[in-house]
Amino acid sequence: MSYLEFRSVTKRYGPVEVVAPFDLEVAEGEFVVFLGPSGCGKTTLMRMVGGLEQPSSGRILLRGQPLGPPDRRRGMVFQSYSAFPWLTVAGNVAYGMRYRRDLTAAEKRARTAHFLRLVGLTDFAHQWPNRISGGMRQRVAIARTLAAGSEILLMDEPFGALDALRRERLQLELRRIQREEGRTVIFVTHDVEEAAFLADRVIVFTRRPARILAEVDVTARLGPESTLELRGSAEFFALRNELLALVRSTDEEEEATAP
Amino acid sequence: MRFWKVSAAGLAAGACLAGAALAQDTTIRVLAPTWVGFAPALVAQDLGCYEAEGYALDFRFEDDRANVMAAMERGDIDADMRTVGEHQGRPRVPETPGTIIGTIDISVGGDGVLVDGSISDVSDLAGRTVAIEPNIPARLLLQMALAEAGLSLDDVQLREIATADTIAVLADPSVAAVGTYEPFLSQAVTALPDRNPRILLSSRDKPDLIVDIITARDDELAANPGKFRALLRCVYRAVDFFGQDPARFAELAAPYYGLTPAEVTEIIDTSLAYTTYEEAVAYLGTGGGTGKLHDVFRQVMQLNLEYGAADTALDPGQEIDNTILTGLWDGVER
Amino acid sequence: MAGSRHRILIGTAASLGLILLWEAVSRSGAVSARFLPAPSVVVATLWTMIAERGLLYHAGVSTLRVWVAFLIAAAMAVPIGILMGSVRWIGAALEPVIDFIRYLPVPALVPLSIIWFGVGESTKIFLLWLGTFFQLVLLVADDVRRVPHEFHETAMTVGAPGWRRLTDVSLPAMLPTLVDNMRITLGWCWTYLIIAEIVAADSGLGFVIWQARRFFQTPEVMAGVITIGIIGLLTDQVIRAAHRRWFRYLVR
Ligand SMILES: Nc1ncnc2c1ncn2[C@@H]1O[C@H](COP(=O)(O)OP(=O)(O)OP(=O)(O)O)[C@@H](O)[C@H]1O
Ligand SMILES: [Mg+2]
Repeated sequence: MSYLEFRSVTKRYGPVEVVAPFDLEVAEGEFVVFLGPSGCGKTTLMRMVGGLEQPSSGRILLRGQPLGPPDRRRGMVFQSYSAFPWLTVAGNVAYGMRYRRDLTAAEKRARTAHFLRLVGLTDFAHQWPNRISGGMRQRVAIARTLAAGSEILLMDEPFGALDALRRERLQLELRRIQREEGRTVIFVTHDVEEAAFLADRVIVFTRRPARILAEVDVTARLGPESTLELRGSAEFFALRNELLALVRSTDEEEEATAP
Repeated sequence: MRFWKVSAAGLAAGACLAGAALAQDTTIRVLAPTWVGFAPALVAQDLGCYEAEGYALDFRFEDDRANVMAAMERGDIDADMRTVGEHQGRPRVPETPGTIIGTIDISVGGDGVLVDGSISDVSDLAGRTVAIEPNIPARLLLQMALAEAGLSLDDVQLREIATADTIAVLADPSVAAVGTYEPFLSQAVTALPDRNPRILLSSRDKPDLIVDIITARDDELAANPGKFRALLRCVYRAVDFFGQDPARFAELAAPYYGLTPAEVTEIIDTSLAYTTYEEAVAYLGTGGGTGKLHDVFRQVMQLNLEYGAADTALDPGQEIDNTILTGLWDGVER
Repeated sequence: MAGSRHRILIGTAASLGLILLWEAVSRSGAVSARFLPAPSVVVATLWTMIAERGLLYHAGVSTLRVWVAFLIAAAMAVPIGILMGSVRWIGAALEPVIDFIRYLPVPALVPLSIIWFGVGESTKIFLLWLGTFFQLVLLVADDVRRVPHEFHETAMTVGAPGWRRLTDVSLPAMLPTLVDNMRITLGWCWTYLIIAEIVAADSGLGFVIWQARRFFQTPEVMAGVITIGIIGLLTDQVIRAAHRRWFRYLVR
């Protein structure tokens, strides 16, 4: 039995088929990146995992159990509006535990401090989200989902709006945290390099309706470590080009079918 | 809908019940337009009259006839004051609450029709634009004058206005005449020299036509006639007081209207005459008989029906009740 | 903060300029003083009205009425609006009714409200409320709908129960716009004052203005109007200042 399992999941909005029968298994602790052309249905798939959207048919199983409505096992990190502006950085992280009855106030405080340290925001604990950078806000959101105790982090283009340098730093951090905390991540991006760098496995989608065009096992190709040195390596480059070619092929497909 | 009805009703209950229910039997609740003609009812309060009679006065200003009728219908007031003509106005039918029990003043120059310099006679108004608020007394004056000249309101172009805008309206050269009342009547004459305005018709020339009456709510009149006897006694005592000391009367009346005593005196002198008890008796008659008001009532009724301001011919015998007035001073000092 | 001092300076200068222009126009005789008394005359009138006609008392009465009506309206509009904006069928059920009532001309409803509420305080409060509630409730409903869905989804994925999302997400997220909208509707509430206070009138600025109008006392009318303007300006500034204080987190 695998950890997270898509079984013939489809999604249609009225006449529009967004996800064709889709099957995928994700292992616990795995970092899976969804890569695909715009509008192919990546967000839709991810939202179905989060329970924010229901499959039209098929099932998504977590440890063999069908998924119900949203709960804190599946945490979301959005590209924008990722932190509540009316709460401080620490308040946002603590918000992840607000509805948890299994923790005492002292435990919540300790966990808040822990995850703030983990994402490197201890010094900004009392700052308002509007006064910190976009990358810091994404870190706040990551810390909040971790503090909530989410086993799966669902991240929809979380670093899309960041400059290259911040993005790189955040990628490193995310990878480290994910390893340390042993969480499963599903990560959506358009950036081929980001996909190659972060993923254990990259799923490349076709155009809508989403089908799997290719699966690339990055760990098998590059090893489990994501380091900056790796980024300069020839293997990384080859992988990146391969992914790029796959993405291009979906694009050409689009041009071919366009009237 | 339900939300606000409930909450607003709760509010109403809280605010009203507490004060009103307790004092209802001994409070005389009156609504009347902002007009100095009704000052005796207010001045009587300063003279301590209501108190001496064992009552308290709750007098508020309300210019809108529809609002007064609504309040009367609901039983929120005991009496109102208005001209006979307006009393008859739509939607009054014989069953509508409100019976005439006395008079308070008559218009003597207080209402009139202003014309520009080009108009020398009522017949000149034919085909011209006349601006007037639909149901004010000046309309009756105009209607009568037109009738005497063989014309009717259909022969002029009527424009509805708010009387407070009199001067601004008359400043428009396309307007030949404005029906209005004081203080606009006399102020327009001086305010617009280039239009050379003149008072063509004045209530001074028809002193009986515009009579301000006191109306009682029928239920309360039947249940509590003493209240209305007290009201009338106090009004006529204040009118007597005006006869003895008009200067002091003006001083007492002024604050209610936001005017100076001099302004009050001027309005009284140019516009109106208070009716004494004896004059009221002459209007209403006594002991179930009739008086000159019955004729005025019929005449005005006819004009209102013609114009369409009223749609039911009311019988003065039904609308006027002189029992309160009859023997008003029996056993009490005037 | 130099910027805000600049603003105050410009605002004051512009107002002063306008007043001087007004004074000049009135004195020149281009417009009859009967219609446009000079500001100096209005200010003198304002002073005598305070000293002799209890203008401050009337202002106090009006302020109290406006605030009572407004607070009732707000206390109803906020929860109802939040429900309308969050629960689809409630919004669908109430919106047409409220939209309809919102367009009814309040002055035409006066006799009806007298039938319901009599000629006492309740009618005045009701009329003020009528002019405020229906506007505010729709603004609140819109504010709730404008809360980014990401906020709600974030809450859902940390396990917030449905109703806690109203209090923990919708309310704080919309609060700054809510306060702004309340400030604006409070201003509208004042504009209904004349309508409310000429009904069975005995007190209040609306009554004073209407009575002065009845006797063609233009300076008194102006003084009354200006009193309302001053109260409005002060209230607005106080709420703006409070807004800045309460919602510091909005400043980047
Ligand atoms: N609520 C909806 N109703 C109708 N169509 C929808 C809805 N949500 C998404 N779609 C459609 O489904 C398709 C897939 O959308 P989705 O957001 O999953 O794409 P995506 O792969 O995340 O795209 P992008 O990379 O641009 O974010 C799109 O064509 C979109 O227009
Ligand atoms: Mg997307």
